[in-house]
Amino acid sequence: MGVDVGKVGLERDSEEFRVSTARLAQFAEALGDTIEAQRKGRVAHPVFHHVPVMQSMVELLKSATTKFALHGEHDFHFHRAIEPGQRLYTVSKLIGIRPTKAGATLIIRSDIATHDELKVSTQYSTCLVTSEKFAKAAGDPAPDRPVMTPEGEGEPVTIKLSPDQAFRYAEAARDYSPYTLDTEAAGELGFPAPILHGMCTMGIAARAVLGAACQGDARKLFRLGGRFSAPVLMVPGQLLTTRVWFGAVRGARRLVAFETTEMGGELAIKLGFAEVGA
Amino acid sequence: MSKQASTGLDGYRQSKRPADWVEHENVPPMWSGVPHQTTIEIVAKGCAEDPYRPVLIIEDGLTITRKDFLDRCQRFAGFLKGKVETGDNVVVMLDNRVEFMIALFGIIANRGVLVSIAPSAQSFDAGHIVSDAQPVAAICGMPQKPIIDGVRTRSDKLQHVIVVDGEEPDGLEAYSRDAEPLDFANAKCQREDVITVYYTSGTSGAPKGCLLHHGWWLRVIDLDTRMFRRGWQDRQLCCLPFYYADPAIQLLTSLVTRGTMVAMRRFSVSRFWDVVNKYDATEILSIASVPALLMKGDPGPSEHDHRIRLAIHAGLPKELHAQMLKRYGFHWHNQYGSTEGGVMSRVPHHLADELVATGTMGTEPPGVFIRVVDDDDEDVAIGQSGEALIGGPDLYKGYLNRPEVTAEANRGGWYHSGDVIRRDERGLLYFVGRKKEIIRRSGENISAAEVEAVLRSHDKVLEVAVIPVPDELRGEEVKAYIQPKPGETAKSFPPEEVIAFCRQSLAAFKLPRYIEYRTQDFERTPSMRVQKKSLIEGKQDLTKGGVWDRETGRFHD
Repeated sequence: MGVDVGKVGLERDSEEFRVSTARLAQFAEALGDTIEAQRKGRVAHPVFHHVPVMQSMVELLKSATTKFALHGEHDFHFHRAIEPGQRLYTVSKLIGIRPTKAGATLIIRSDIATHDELKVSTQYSTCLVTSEKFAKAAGDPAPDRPVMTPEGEGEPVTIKLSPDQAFRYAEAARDYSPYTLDTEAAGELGFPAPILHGMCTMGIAARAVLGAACQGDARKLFRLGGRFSAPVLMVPGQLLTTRVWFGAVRGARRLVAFETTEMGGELAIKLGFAEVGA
Repeated sequence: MSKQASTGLDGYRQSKRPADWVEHENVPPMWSGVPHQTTIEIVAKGCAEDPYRPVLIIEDGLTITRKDFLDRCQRFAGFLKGKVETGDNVVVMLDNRVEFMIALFGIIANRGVLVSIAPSAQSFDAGHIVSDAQPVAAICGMPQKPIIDGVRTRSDKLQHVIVVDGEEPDGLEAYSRDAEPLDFANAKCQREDVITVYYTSGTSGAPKGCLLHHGWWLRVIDLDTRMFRRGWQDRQLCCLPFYYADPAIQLLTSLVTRGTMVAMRRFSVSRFWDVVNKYDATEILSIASVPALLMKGDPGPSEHDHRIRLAIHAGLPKELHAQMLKRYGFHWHNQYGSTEGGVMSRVPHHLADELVATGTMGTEPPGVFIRVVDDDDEDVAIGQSGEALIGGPDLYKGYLNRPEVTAEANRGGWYHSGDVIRRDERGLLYFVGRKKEIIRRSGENISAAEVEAVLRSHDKVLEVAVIPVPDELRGEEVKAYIQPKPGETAKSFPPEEVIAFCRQSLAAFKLPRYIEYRTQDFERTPSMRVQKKSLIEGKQDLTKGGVWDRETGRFHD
């Protein structure tokens, strides 16, 4: 077994998450954020939307599989910015399981709303469990990602990671997964060094997207996603280069594509996409 | 000592709650919070589950991960092996530092008993505990070493004085560095083992050592965890001294729910909200005058821009409750707890809005039973005051070396709390006062706590204490000690104004007869309450020496 298809449809909510300036500022600081409003904690870095979601998402994964589930893809749909004073409630649901060549993917949808029921964001996490074979799919797939063929070199933004980047992100997100912090624990999963949280890579990539396509204003970002295609190893000198391409305008939104490569040239995030205010 | 005879508390009958009494709603089933048998299991499993998440952060920045904490606990337990045997007492006298918690679980894993001594204790109080508990070892900080050295001969069994010295968290490393770790996953603890002794500062007689076993701890942790849901993003703020049970409860509930405890070295109004924000606390546990002191602090932006979503407080001042909610932006759930009875009553979460400023301490959690009785242990009518009797599984195991006091307190199978309370028609409980702190004036019972709460709510008041003064005519009279806020004096806040203020909230017979102003802080008990014994014994005639008398309208020398 390993993955319980009967768990499709299972829901898990979270306790109230209150938002403070200090917490948002801490998160921005951990990502080396240069956007003033985010550094000051007046508005959340977009990837902060994952923070209140993490626990219910992991709990659903744990109830559906005893195996290690790797976060393979993420897709944020932003309805409003996270700001100090909000009281957030999250409900996550295992919406589907899909067979793949490598095993199975589990698709979790998480909705955040404020205590007065304003929608904040909807997120789809696609997680990969290896060595599982499935004859049929159950439940729903993740929504289609926007298709765009990047042309040209793109605008590169390179950020050098500090040796303690994973520790800083762990502390800011409260995600202390051992394989991000401990060489031995990473080794047990087959990695030669601790790997950076996928969401930290996404957060650093989002800095480039916000800078290139949103004039640094998180409120102009409506959607952000991508595939975590290779681990970012926490080795000396590690750096992340994000390239951003502009695509078509549809209505009030413009499509943006991005890719993030690590020091060795491997694509850490591929098929990255965003929808921004046109 | 772990082989205690039955304390006689099993005889309580499960009183049937009338259907129209309020209940705590949406509480998961018993033992779903902690399906463990011992506190050592909680530590072992909680640390293994999420090794790099901090278990404890101290306000000046020291952070201990679960992995590091377990490692230190297991090595210190290894050091104690052979020195502390099953049922042996170990006195611990330490400030708020990580080594306190390491010592606690190191002792428990050896099936020893931590006997707690306030770090500020002097040779009289520390000596009483050492001679009563006859510990085999003492663990203390450098500041406490002279006290322990002075009293160590009062235990015939005391073989080891372990001094916490050097940089935190390495204060025990001199002992445990090379010790073979005692594997907590294979510790041989039993659920019925007594693991801690806290001396309760009774209003009369010498302090008594209250014996608590794993079951007491598990039940408190289970109740607390089920009544308030916490998660990975939660951090509980501890502003109480570690030698009290509450901080260790917070540490264990944090381990159970993958949270973190943020601890202050000691409570401070000026540092409070900075610590809350800097370390992202989401919950507060407080006792005694903490909220009243906070409310006296200058307002600042950090007091409402934070992530706190709940405070649990024992003895909430109802006069300040609505203001506290408005000023800080989260609920303060009034709770009724004690060393002997654990968590006995709390405001139900779903009724929090409605019950603001009513003064109620809510109702019993599932599995706890409270009766309100008269002096003959007969249940009084709804609305009448009487002593609170507590029933339920896993209450305290009795008082150390005091079988007759234990039997008396537990007569009829119920723990006699010494607290006077009342219950309303919805089953909600209200604290009236300590049985021994009720002032009996001309046949009326006056609660010192009630008068104090009114006085404390005045803007010019920093702290107060109300005590009975013997009176030939009326039996007893009410005397109030008032410590005005800095800048205020008996001139700017004269007795007439005090009385006029009290008159707005209190029946005439409750008004203080005597008022004495103080400029100095009150002496406090280890649990941060005003030490009234020192006031009562402070002078021969409590009505003289700068005391204002309402009947003469002047100060008497």
